[in-house]
Amino acid sequence: MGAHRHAHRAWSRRPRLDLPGMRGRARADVWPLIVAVGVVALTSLLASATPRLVDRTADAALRDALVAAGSRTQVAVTVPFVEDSYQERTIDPDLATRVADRGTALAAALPAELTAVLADPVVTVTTPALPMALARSDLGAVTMSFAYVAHDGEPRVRWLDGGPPAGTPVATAGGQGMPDTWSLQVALSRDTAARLGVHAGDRLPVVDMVGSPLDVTVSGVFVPDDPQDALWSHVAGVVEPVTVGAQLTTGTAVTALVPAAFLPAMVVDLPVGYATRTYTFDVEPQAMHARSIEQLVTAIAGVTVRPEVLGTPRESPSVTTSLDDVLVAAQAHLSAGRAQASVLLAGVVAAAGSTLLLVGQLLSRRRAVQLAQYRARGGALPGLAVELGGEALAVAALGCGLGLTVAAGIVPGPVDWWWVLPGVLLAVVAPPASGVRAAARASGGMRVPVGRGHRRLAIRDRHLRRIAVEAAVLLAAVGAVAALRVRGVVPSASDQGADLLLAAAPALGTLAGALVLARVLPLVLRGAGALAARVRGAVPVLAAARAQATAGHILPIVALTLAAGLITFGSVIGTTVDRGQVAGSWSAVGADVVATVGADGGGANLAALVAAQPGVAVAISGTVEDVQIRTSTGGHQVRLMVVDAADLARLVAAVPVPLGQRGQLTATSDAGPGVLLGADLTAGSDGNLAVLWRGTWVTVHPTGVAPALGSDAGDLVVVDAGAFADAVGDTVAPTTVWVVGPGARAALAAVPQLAHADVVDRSEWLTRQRTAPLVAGLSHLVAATTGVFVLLAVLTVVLGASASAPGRGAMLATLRTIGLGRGQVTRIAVGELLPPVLAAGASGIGLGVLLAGLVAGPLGLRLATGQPVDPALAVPAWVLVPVAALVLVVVVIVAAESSLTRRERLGQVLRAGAR
Amino acid sequence: MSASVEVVSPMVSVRSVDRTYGTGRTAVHALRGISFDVAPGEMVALVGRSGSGKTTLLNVVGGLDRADAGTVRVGGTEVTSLDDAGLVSLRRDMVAFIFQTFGLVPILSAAENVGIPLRLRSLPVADRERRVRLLLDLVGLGEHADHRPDELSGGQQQRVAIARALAGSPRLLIADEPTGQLDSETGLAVMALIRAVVEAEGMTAIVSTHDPVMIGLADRAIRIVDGHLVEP
Repeated sequence: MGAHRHAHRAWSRRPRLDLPGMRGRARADVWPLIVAVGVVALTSLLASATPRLVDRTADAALRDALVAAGSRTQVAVTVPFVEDSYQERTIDPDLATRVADRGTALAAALPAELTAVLADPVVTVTTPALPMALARSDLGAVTMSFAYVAHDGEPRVRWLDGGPPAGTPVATAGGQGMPDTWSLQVALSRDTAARLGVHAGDRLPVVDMVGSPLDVTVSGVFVPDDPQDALWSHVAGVVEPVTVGAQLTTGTAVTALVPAAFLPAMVVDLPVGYATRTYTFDVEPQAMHARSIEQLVTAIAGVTVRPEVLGTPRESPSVTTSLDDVLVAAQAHLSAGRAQASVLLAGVVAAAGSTLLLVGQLLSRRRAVQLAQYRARGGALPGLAVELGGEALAVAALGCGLGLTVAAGIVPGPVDWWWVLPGVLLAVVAPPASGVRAAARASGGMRVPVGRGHRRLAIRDRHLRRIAVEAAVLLAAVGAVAALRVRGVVPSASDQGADLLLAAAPALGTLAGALVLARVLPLVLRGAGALAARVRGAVPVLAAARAQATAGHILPIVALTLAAGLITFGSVIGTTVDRGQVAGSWSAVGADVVATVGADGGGANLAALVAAQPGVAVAISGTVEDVQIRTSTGGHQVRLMVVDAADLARLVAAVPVPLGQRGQLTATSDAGPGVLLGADLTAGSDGNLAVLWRGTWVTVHPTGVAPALGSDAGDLVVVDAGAFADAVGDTVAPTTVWVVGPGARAALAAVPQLAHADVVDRSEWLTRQRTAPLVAGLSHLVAATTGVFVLLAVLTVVLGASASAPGRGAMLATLRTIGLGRGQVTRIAVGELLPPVLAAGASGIGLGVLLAGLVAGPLGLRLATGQPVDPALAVPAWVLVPVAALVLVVVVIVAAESSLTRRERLGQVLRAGAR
Repeated sequence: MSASVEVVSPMVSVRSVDRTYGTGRTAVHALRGISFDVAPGEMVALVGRSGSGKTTLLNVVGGLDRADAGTVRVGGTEVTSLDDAGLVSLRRDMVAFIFQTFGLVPILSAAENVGIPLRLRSLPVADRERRVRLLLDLVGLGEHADHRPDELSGGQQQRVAIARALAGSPRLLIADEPTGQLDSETGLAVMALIRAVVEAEGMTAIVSTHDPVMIGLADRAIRIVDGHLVEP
């Protein structure tokens, strides 16, 4: 009761600040306070800068994704011409102008979010593909479409034969709105005219859908001024004919260019509704921001589902785009990046938090005597709490201010307090809580039951509480890791709380492992102590006893294991990504350098020339073409690689990463040449497989899985060149050279015949992948956080050693009076400090590797490596280096303590009594 | 025929020892020209007020501190000229301390504390355990061999310290106010124990104390005032 009344009085007194006392305490313990300021500053810096850096890189990454997606990002609005079937059709001389105006109106009708990121539309008016009556077996069935294209005027061309269409059909004076007769004049590209065998002035044998001939004349033959002008990509088949069809039917599709003057004639030449206006809006990547993705996707969905909002009720427009798909994919990529950053930040907050708890504990130990005196003089606990809280607040504010200021200098923007506050709060709460607790204990303010039985119950209660807390952490860690493995790290918009738990999964897992270690280590050390007791010498038993005493303090062990685990986790993830990018570069490119030449480029000979160059390990040649493949379930477009089987084996052997090839190419059999099929391909249940080669189906049979060579390796089909030549009755001229070796690029440059080859360089691919904004940003973050974890681990060792230093110093001083030499004293100190550090370091490595293995897949690392599959986990040998560094830190601490005690007079030490 | 005179060398010989802490105006002269001898087997009480220099003198004699001037010889060994290794040997083989604060290792049991000096001499395990049992029985703590210091009373802790001091069979026992933290009854018992073991083991002892009863147990007393030795 007395103790209770005392405690009650203590808390009920009005707190009074002892400012000189506060200043004195701060001066005496300046270095732990500086550590706290530094940790808070570092945490605040990372926690505030990282989200902003991720946002900034997200914009750049989004723009990269949009550029890479190319025409998939275009928004095409198709608007049929509105005509009344019961009224006579008329030539509208202003049709081109009206078509252009409709585009302007459409742009205005689009949602503002879309208008802000879209350029002015390219206008095309097209017709369906109309049959041509041509007796040309080499072209298959030939179809012709008519197209009008405009964007700031019509595309510029150079006339090779004839000229632009002349004149315009006009309505006759009869007032019927139609000329008597007219010929639709169109222009053909050089390649199209050559393929069809027509010239300027020729009539084209085009028929409409019911078989009636149309009067179409070639006004001229042109070549584009700029064949790369994006305008030409809006209408397929204008610049050059397109081979179309699949399986047994192939044909040729061409498109004739119709000028603005003949647009009205083109429209009325065909039945009502056959000519279609299409307004194609290109995305302006620079106008895009990652934060707007969701609004954009919503806007696109709105106009796609209800396109009638864009036109009059009779127009029935339709909207076609894959922009939303590209944005959603980019969003997933960015979300994965954000989530990966969150995982690292959660680790930083956890490690920094445990370090701040250690600082609090160290301060209360260093101030134990002062705190006891404070209470002995009648100081109240609330007053002490206010004083210590004020000091902690000042420390936290200073650290937070420093961190935020530096972060603002690096990357300005709003502060994400969600990440900053945990560290600051811990810095504010932990030291005062620890100090007040220590003061309460020193003064008997913590009530202790009188009876032995009650004391035992109190101890059991404490143990049960600790077990409950540890079990809760363990369960949370298991749950978080399991959820992360099931759901992946990409957050769902509806469940932010759970996503934070997922982000903390690696830190929670490491924390749970650290708690287990903190339970197990004292038992191990007790066993070691029992063994040491059986030896003659003094050092083992004394070191073991000190180590047991040190390991009895949970916090330093947990904090160090946590930091060591996160160091390893970061290192393994970083190395996995790094090596995955290298593996990705090999599978994406297929060699150090791949050069593509024309069919007449003499590829086979080139391979020999390249192979003779220095620094070339392997150079082989072959052919890669997009072809159709037919299985029992349908047809697919695939990449056919025709290569000598032995050459392929040499190439695969020279590539330093496994390419996943299973099975070998075999010679021709009754079922045709053997092929290796990409991972995404199957032969079908009946094994019926054929490849369309130059208009002929060639039966092949699968013999294994193709190596992951080149992009889209999942759709790769590899066939032996000799067997294939036997099957098709002709040799296939090599068009591609694969080169492996350190001198690959130089070797290509040394062969003049390859001067104009299309070259893909693996190192360039790798550089591009690694410097992609989001990937590079995350790599830097992994490196930075790993560095922070190392720093925190070192601080943890220093703080832990400092906390145990008084007890160690007193014991060693006592032992020196008995006759222990300095060497023995040093060995005891090392024997005390090293086992927990080694145990925490080794456990941290194990936990880090385990957790990296568990969550590497769900973290979506393949987005950073550019591989089609999750990268193989890579554990670098240098994960041992931080542990070695921590051992070195211990040695330095012992040396420093030894140096300090050398200057201490034993007599003076002992006069102070046991500490 | 001449009569032979046996000259007994003193166990402890202190000559003109000075010890000053600090320099200049803040210098504190703890010892000034101290000289005295202690014969083998003698138990000497070192008497003086707090701050008179008792502990400094004991530290200098035991090799825990170094004199600025003068010489100290213990068992014929000149302590003041020993290097660190020599002082370690001295403390291990010749001198034992008993402190006011007991100086036990709190994380070791009573038996383990007593066994430390024996471990330092690499005594075989069986011999060590036998002697530890003997010493603990001697100080009346045979039943408390596995207790840690914080599980023992102050008097019991000091008795463990005495047992530990005796473990290495030292020739000189230095006790710095060994009853300072004990009640008078316990203190008297501890002092009597020290007196008994000194006689039993035939060792020399210098014990600093304020207590007149304790002084009475000693063979003689040396008084120190402000760093000077004075006649009692």
